[in-house]
Amino acid sequence: MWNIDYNVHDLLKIRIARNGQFDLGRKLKYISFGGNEDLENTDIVLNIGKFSPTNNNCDFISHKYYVKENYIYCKDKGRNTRWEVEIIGFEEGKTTINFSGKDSGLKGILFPTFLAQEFLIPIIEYKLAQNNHFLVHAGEVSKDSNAYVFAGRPGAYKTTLIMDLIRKANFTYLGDERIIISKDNILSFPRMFFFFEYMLNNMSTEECSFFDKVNSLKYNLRKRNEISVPLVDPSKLKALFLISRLCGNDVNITELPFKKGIEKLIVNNKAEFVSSTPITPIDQFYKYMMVYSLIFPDNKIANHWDNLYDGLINVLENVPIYEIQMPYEYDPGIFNAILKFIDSR
Amino acid sequence: MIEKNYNVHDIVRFKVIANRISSRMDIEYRNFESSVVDEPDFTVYLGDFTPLNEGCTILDKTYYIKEDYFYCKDSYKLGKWQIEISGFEEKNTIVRISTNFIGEVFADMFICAFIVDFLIRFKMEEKGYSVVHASAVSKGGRAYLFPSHSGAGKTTTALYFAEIGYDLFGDDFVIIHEGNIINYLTPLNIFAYNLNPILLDHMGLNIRYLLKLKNMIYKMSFGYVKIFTKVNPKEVFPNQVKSKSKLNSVYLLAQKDAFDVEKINKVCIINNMFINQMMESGPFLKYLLEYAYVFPESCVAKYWDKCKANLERNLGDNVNLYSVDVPKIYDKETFNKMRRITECGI
Repeated sequence: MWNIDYNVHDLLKIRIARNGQFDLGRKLKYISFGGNEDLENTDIVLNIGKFSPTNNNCDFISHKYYVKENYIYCKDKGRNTRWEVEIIGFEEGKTTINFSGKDSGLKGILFPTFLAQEFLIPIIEYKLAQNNHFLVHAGEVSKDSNAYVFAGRPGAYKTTLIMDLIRKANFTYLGDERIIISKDNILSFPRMFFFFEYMLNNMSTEECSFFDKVNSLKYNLRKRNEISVPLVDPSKLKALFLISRLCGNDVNITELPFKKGIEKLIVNNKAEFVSSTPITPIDQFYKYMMVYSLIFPDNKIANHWDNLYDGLINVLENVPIYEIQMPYEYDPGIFNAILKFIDSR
Repeated sequence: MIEKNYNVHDIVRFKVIANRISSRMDIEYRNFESSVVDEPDFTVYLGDFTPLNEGCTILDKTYYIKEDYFYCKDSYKLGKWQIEISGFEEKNTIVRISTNFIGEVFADMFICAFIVDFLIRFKMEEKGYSVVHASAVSKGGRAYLFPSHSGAGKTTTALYFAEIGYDLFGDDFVIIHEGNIINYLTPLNIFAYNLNPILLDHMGLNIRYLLKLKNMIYKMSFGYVKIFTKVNPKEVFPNQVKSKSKLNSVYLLAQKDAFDVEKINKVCIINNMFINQMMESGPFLKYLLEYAYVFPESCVAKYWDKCKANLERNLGDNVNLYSVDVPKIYDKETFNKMRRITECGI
């Protein structure tokens, strides 16, 4: 049995607990948020391991979901994995997640808590949004206290671009997958920091070969007990970029109408919690929100996307939003064009 | 090449063109078959194709999107498919689908349930009709709608009513338009949990044994292989099919411990039916989102807003609205209570 507590910028306190000892990567995902101290008044508790659900007096939906006020439970399955999850305090108050399930294959053996830890992301996003801080699916770098955010669907070369901005133009890393946007500043939300660090030092792009995966795993395991990764102070957001890859040859950068940019950001977040067919727990979260809203249609969870839209409209006021369309294959010319554009701002 | 034409009440017309159409797909839309359709709303080509991905934005290394165009490869369990939609926002949409062997054999599950069913609904909604996840019956010119999520008693309710002479409009989806119910008769999907005694009476011995075998396969595969038995409601109740009837009451079904009924307001029922529609959109929930990322102001991106507006309009203002809790075991006694509230009020 072990417990690890994390403090996300004093905005959220999270405790992860597991029945069982072996887990090479227990701290890897959220190491940037501490993990050494015992925190009081945690907002989210994630218990990993077998549990007995308290799903009495629930509505039973679609042969699978148990729902009552502030509560959801289900047994679910995706591609090569099964899980059982119970969320107490789903809509408000302190949230306790009981989660049983792990990845299949070697990943599940070496890192049996990764699947459960990944499931924290939508809960963190929802909880932060309730307090006017917005977790956005994007990477971020800063220079001279000015932050630049790069959002986009997976595979848009966000991470590669961020690596190049750090390596070639002395930008500072704030996150390559998610960031927190607040009214006056941007906060980092680095996850799997050592994996990014390995890529930064050893790979030209984010495209991983088999050997990269093995070597990055070794690197992560070697680093797993070092927890002194500094979080950079809040930065002022200078510009936000939405990146897409095209079947074409040119780099195009255009300013988007503000509301169109916000709509794209919302869809970008939403699409992270939806898959066409079930794969992992995180991509079923949108469904869990819908199931809960079937029974409690006027709840805070059902209003999350509207809340996120209104919130981003408010906090990103006066921030220009650009769209970068880049060729399918990444090359230095793309980086130079984007850096030139940033410098010209 | 085989060309099959389908006409859903002169509202949505579509064609399926293929070298071979599996029997399970053939059964699925038999009630909409037509000798010829002019100006189809969409045409489905089954078989291998080369996608026209030039100039597309590529999302998640999977979704290829340009204006009016969508392409991806996808899979579920052992079934795999590629889909290309050209003219996504046009009147005549061209859909090309290529599947692996499993996808072809179980075409009802992969091609119909995941793709064509949604396209019919998509075109219906574009034309202002709502296709809702509900069953419906009617008697004496008054139609009763039973929306619910899966497993709350839609099919059972409709079959019990049909057994006592009510006209059947559909057990899974029905069309609503300007306060009227229009039938949407697709096959009943029968599995062990919704095998109603009424259906057993209409089944031959061979189908009963097949049902048992399918249930055994389901258990032996730990829930991985789930094969439904298709029963055409028109064959079970040949004289009880009407195309249209005035909507009188809506009974939103939910599974609870005991039977209960109470009035519900229109906002609540629309929210529930709307979320239910989204939950039943299969892989298109994702496909629409990915398209919306590239074109957030397109009709496709606004599709769900359109569905909600359609629902508000089509449900009408003079309809009685109730929520009904039904117990997990939905038997004749439960149905008698259901019948009493539809015929005598609450």
